[in-house]
Amino acid sequence: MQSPNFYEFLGRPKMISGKRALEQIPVEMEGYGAGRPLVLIQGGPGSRGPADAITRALYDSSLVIGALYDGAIAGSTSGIANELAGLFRARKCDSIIAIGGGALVDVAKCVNMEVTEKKPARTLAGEGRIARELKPMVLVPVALVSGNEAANRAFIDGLACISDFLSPDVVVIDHRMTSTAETGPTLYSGLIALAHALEAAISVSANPMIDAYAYASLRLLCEHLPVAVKKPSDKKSSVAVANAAALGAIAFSNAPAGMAHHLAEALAGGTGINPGICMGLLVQALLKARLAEKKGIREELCLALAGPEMFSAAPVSGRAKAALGAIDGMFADLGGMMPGSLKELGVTQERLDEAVREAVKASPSKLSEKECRAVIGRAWNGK
Amino acid sequence: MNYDSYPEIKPGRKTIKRIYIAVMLFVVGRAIQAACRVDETVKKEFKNLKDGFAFALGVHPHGPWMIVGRDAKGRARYLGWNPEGKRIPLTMSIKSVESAILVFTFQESTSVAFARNRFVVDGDLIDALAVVRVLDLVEVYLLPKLIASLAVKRYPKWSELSPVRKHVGRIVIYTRTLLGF
Repeated sequence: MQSPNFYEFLGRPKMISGKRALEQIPVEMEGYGAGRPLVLIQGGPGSRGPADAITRALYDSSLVIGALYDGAIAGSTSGIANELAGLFRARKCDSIIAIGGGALVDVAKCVNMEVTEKKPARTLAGEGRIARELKPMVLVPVALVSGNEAANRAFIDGLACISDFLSPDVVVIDHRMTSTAETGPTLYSGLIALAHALEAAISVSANPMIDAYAYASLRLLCEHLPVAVKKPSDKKSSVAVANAAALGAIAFSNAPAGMAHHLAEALAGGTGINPGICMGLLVQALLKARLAEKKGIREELCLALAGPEMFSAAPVSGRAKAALGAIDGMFADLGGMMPGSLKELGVTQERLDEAVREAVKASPSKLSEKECRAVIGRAWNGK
Repeated sequence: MNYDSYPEIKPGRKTIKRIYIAVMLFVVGRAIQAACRVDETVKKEFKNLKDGFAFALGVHPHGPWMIVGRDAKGRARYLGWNPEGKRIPLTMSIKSVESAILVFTFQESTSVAFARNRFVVDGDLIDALAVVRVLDLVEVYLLPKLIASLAVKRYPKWSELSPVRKHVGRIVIYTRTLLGF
């Protein structure tokens, strides 16, 4: 491992994972001086399970749930954030527990911004616009995650808010919540985590801290994602994938978004294909492209992907290939859930060009159009 | 948005689990008092504690609790379940009823629960470690080997605690625990 010249790393949030983890929430909240949380749960079929689990987990504690919102949240908009901020104030809440992923967590963070900064969250879009610690926030991941939940960002009306204060204070991972997911959301969450961890590890800002989080995330995914996808109710694997997603998000929030991330978002936006699937195919293609260009993949990353047995069995010159083989093997183990290429998903070549243009435009780090074309071309062909 | 659709929820109680923990704490508290009169190691641990020492072991925040103190002769004395009005230099609280259930149903040993941060210690950590050692020994006396092996960090070898000493000690400790002296 190379000694870094300079780096910054934000190590929030605190993670609590495993047996009876939900019951740790009251003590954590007390530690922050909070006693009256607003609980947000994604509504819809099956929403009673997580709601009952969290209510029971707070038994015999000093916490009183100020309000339990279990309505549907379709997207993170100013309207819903404003209404929930009103509910927060009306019930005199002092903290937030968000149970779910994606838009729900974005809304929870926006509510937190509104009630702390006392101005609409939309006006705080941008980087570093929040000047103080927000109200204590606990995140409990449930099913589909966008990969930003544990990170230092939130989205509102399509705008990004980025601040160190936007990381949740505590992430609680408990199988009673994670094993309620279905096959699709588990796969998409796992693939997003894979792309985030891998891109953070190969980014220019990679450092020992990013590596530690990213490698742990990758190892967990390689070992547990296929089992979790085939049987989402498997407690051990579902908790492992949720851990990988949180670790990947922390690594990703400390690195610039990479090529696979930007291309996947551009592709998913125009085609309606799940961004997770796009990210999975693109990050696999990105590794293949790096290998073909003999750019090399660091030994530690090969170890994280291939695992100690495959890594030590491969010759030194073949370790990168073994790492790629491990990803191919993991995709093959996903029980036919993973398409072989973007072509199989019905993406046209014209759409590829548009996606490359959009990704280059959206990227603040000036992506190379030529390199983007090469990677997306590989993902399209599946080679 | 109709705020009335999203109610305030006050925390309920896990009464049966709390009763189970209270009974276990009562038995363990009286057994510590008995073990201090029977086992030399426990006696020595209490002798080494400061005069007026007492500790409370229980569940945060509403209990149940068990309070054990050291008397002027250096012996352990069970001081009941109510910490109010007592001077207690060391409080060891388990963070939740569910965590306490893991410990008292021997799914997690005391040392593993400590390592997993399920305890909050308020007081001298050195004294807390002495209490954990005492608890381990008391569990060895109270429980059959199969269960005690799950509850303690390391089950004592024959050379450390002979079967004769263990079984005789067990009978005396159980008798003293039941009779409360």
